[in-house]
Amino acid sequence: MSGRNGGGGGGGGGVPDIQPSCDALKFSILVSSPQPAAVAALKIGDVLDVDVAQLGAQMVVRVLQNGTLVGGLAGPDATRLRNCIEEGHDYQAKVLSVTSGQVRVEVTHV
Amino acid sequence: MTLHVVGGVYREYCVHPRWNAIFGSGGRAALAIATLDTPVVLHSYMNDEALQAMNEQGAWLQSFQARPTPVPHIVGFTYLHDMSVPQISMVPPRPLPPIKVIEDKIVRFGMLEGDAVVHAEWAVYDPQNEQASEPFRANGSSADHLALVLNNFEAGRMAGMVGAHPSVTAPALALQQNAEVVVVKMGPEGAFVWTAQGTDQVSAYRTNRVWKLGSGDCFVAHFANAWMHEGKSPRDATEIASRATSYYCETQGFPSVDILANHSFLPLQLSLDYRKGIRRQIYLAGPFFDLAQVWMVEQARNDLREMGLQVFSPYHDVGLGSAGDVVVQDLQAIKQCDLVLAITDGLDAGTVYEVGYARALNKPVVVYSERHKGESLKMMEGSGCTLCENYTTALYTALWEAVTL
Repeated sequence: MSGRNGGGGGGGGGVPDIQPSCDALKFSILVSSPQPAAVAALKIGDVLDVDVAQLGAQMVVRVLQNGTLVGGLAGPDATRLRNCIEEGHDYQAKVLSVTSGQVRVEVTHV
Repeated sequence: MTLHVVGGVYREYCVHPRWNAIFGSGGRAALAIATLDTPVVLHSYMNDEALQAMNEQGAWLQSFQARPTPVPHIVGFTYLHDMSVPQISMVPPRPLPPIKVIEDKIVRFGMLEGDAVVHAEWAVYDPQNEQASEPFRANGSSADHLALVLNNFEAGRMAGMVGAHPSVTAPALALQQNAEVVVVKMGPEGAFVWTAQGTDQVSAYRTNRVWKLGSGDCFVAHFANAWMHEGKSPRDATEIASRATSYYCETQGFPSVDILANHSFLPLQLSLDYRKGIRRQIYLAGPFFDLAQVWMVEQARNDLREMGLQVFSPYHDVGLGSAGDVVVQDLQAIKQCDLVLAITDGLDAGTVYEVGYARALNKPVVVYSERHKGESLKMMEGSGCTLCENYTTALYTALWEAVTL
């Protein structure tokens, strides 16, 4: 955080009050811990698989290309995504950009 | 040797560009350090959601551990855009009991909901509060080797010398806080590094895109890792931090060791005129026919001024009027300004004319357009304008043009 004007209260204006349904869940997100070899093979527009897997003691959301791990998804949107996948919904991730080893994808319901 | 990071883990939401994450200074710094394969332990106030978010990311990194101090809610920051002043929510009415950490190497950030009392052999401290920065040792913290990392404004406030150059504030802060290193971040001028042995200036780096949220956290993380874990000199640690931060600003991602070694970094070369103290004036071109347009002009003018630029804004400096009232003054101002930032969404005829007029005078023009691409901007692209699709990127691009002229 920037810490700019740190302190003080205030509301949380701008944060959506209603979470989308699992059918309507759609967001763009940066892939966390991108795997360099897999990222090197990606092209904009590629469609990646999304699943939930156990990693150590943690359940995580993964993105894969033809079975090869590309990286993970984390944060509030990914937590919602994981819950929806665990309820039986399926999603895919389209590659929006690949910049200096980092990948941004758009997750959509299938 | 493990680095221990103590700092906030906060919810971050940015409306545009959209960003929905849980990081905070402590969380972001710990994950940035873990991405370098350095063992790191994060100490923070966390609820279940925050701990989950940290562990989901930490699971991919072998060297990350979280030690939460449980709380019912975490603090939230909401930004309209990544240069805006955030709305801050869920700050407890009274400070929470402090987190105590006794370890060899500690990174300490100031926090909104409580405090950290640390005892370390080596410590890096970022107070994270421009308005009321607390000296490192004021809460009983101690360190044998202390580095302070602050921005220029914070350094001035903390030293009681607002506006003074870091060559004045840094030694004062070192004396005040018994610090052996003081790093002052100076925007396009890079970072000033003070030690008792001497001073250094480290360059800032240009990027094609700028994402600002969390850049300071990334800087502290990489400085701390390089100085405390790798044993680099303060100057070299600051250089690494500056490069790593530019990578983060460009990609929103944390650089690995390989990326830091192999990525191409472009240092910002300040012009001789800028070094002599000459400050450039920017002409802010854009329509102002309705509230949304006026809001945008107002926002851009404020942000450019906050970045240290002198701004000529036709809306503010000439006002509304007939062609006879305003046009000559506007065109005269373009002649007198050094560069132009043009807000071109909507392709307002007056703005497009101003862009062409400025280019005919060989003035650098930065074009900010989110909605128009390709054919609509062809003349601007072909006549040497710099095109930016993102607000923060456009402003920084203009700033970098101004300091290199």
